[in-house]
Amino acid sequence: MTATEPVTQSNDSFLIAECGHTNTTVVLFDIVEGGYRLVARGSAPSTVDAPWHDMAVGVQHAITEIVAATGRPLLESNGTLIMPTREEDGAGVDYFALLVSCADPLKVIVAGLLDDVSLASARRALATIFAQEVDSFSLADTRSMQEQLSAIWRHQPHLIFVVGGTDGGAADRLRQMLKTLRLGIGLPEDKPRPDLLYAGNSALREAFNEALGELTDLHVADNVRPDLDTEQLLDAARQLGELYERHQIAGLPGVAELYHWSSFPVQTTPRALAMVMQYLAALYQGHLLAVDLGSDGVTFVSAQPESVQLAVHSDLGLGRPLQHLLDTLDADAILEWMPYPLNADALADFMVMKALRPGSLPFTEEDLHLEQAIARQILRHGFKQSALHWEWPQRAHLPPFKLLVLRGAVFTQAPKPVQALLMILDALQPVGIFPVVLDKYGALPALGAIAAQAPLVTVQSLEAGALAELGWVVAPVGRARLGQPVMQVLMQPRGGGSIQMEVEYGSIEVLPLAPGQEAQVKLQPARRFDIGYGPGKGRTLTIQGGAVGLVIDARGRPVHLPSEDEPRRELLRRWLWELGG
Amino acid sequence: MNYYFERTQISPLVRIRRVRQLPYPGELAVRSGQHVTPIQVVGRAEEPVDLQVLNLVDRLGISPGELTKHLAVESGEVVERGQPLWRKRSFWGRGRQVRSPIDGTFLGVSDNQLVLAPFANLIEVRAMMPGQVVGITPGRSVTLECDGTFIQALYAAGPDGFGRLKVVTPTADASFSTSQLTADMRGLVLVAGHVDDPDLLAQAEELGVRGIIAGSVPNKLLQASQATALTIMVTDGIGHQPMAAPIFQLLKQAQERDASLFVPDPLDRGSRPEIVIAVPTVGVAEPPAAPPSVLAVGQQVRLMREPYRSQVGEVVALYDQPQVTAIEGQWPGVDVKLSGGEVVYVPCANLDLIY
Repeated sequence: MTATEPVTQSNDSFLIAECGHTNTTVVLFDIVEGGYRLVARGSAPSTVDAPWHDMAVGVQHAITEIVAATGRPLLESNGTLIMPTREEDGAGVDYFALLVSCADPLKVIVAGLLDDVSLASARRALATIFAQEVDSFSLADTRSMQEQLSAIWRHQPHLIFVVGGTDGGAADRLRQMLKTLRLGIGLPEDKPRPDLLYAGNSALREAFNEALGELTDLHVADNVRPDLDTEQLLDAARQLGELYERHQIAGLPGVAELYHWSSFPVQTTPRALAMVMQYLAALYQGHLLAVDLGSDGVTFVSAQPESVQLAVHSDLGLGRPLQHLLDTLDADAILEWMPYPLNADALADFMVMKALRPGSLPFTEEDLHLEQAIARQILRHGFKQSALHWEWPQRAHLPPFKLLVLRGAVFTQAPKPVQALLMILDALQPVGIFPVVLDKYGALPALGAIAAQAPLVTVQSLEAGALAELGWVVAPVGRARLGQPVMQVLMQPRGGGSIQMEVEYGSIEVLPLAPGQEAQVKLQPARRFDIGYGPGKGRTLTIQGGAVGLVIDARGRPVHLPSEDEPRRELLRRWLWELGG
Repeated sequence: MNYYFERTQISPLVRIRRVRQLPYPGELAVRSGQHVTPIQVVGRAEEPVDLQVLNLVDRLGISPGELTKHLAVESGEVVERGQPLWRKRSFWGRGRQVRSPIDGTFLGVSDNQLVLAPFANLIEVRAMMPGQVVGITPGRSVTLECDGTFIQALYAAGPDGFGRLKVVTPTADASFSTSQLTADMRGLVLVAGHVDDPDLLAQAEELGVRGIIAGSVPNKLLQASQATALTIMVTDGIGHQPMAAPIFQLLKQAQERDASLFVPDPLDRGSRPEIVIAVPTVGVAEPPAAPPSVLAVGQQVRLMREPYRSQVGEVVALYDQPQVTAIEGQWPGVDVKLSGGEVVYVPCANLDLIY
């Protein structure tokens, strides 16, 4: 069952499952003391792959965890979900939603005219789903038609995504490309034909329809580049999402049972995350960033009240992608973040092993630091790619954020919260003043999944603390010699006491402020340092506590690491020690 | 309640079913119920290659209707180089014709052009284990069945392999080096605790070794394996660690018997490499029981992370609440008694159930 109409009852309960490659998480939202709360969370290993080949089993296991924690029966004896809630005993839930991030990427051939115009836009649209670009055709492509045809035949893509040409512009080259595509798609083989999504010059829609309409499933979206200065990805991205669901999600083993339970359209985790981030951006009235480092993908969401940008990297992650990640990432760049000696061979061994056992957890200090060093470099590389995708202006520093949101097991399972914070500070090296929150319970995409149909659940659950606060970060911009004063900090927690500190250049300091506490903080940067209000200009602000507290990152931007091994490791150990990590 | 992330089947005697799949649609060479030998071909398929396209409408100045009307071959027909593909006779007996430029298959007409697929390399899929054909998917796969020892490995590289087992290291943690290779290892599948030297692979291949089963190998050896056609099977880890004791024991017991090494299709996510050592009689073993999902006291487990990597022990205590580990992680876990008697708290995520 699927339904898109909004839920109107104000006391319904919601169970939302998120199926990843490694973990399956289920969260339950219900009314507690007059408002929606995250009531319980269950987690179990995913069962989409061998030997189970049934993702519903993992969902049932995770639901069983919730049943054990709450005592509320949710499953019938045959394993089906009790829905709606039974009035007589309160068993079951009223609505179920499904989020998926465990499907393989959509295999796509991108066809267009100019690499840095229409094809760049196509790639930005593709970055909103789990996609693998297996080939691309463009004006710069010197291959013969025969070779391009063979490429279609050999790759057997799920989709050919055609872009190019401004609306009303020249159409000859696209018409030429259409001939090759028609030939390739129409090959009389008993193989499934690729779908075609056309998001190019709107004047050619009819030509594409005539040439390909009977051969394959043709989808038409708004031109991604109606003119050279305008980009519109929304419609193409929406249709890509639908195609991804049809080709990759709908065929997952066991998904049919979960479709049957689902009260809402099935969504991918990145898309649901983007949705809830846009809601949060409206709430915060500013620029927010979310980072989701999963085992088989990394997602970045940059959200403003009026727009949201999404970048999904299927080739990055702390699971299966690790096996080939050293083809992309430099081993030295990873080892640079290790506080202990390790050689590149040992790093490669570790990465392949982790790819084979993605769910396993570090048990020694060395393993822990190695996993976190790899995470830093993945995030660094992924974010750089995302910023390029989004065509952010090349600047020395990132734009300031009003909130930084972290997701993924490497953050939530970090033995100490400060390790999660340090990982993201090292990787992204953000500047300014901002709070950092952790999606500790895996609830954020779930709230995005039902935001359109049940906005009250999203609003009230977020207000009630569905996210765990790590703390606030102050990262000034400026340069000085190591040890020179950067900032005076006075923190006065509500309820008494105060901490005063002079922070030196090259250091990172933490001022503890427990979750639920509030404090007034007076920040006075040195003359050449800027915390977002101009060089030397201070500010007094009220902050909330978190698992870490207030962190003053005075290491400068970019963070400078000594090139010699032992001094660098010594410095990394000192930063960890200063933060209590 | 806690669940296993990983499980590994290590069975001394069990009924084994193995699907032998053609990489592309093709023809099967066996029938249901037939007994097969390891080297017997069970099916054949052709590898896709670059296509040939002939645009006769432009070249001959004919209409699309004429093109299809005078085709001399049918879609899917095998054609030889020089064979007429299109032929139009004229009133005077002299017509025009276009011959196939290649040996291959005529795929048909697409967008008014003739499309040909040249003959590709023929891929033959062999049984690789003795047994009986118990299932057939026409044109795609056969299912074979036998009784024997069954071991799931961790990682594999190279093609499927088959050969007589020989254990070449005295213990599960000993290394096998290039200098220990001897001429009488031709045709064998070698079993070693650890193999480190990438050069060993090329020399072993040259010698005619059929495959290597190792407890662990470094990544650099896996990289080197891409340049050889040798089957490499790793049971425990990438890096340097011993072969798990139950696996080493079973392989030692199976010494001098024939072993089949099955390397999974990388597209079949989650599928594992398998070692099958068939016994001559079918019907003595039971099909494998479904492994438990939930952790319980008494289960045999292998530990997956340092400092206990590859050690095998028994679950001796469960906990309702997560306990704190040595690095201050607080994760759900159990107490495991290792073979040396030491009891350690291990996160559930680091356990591999042996069944």
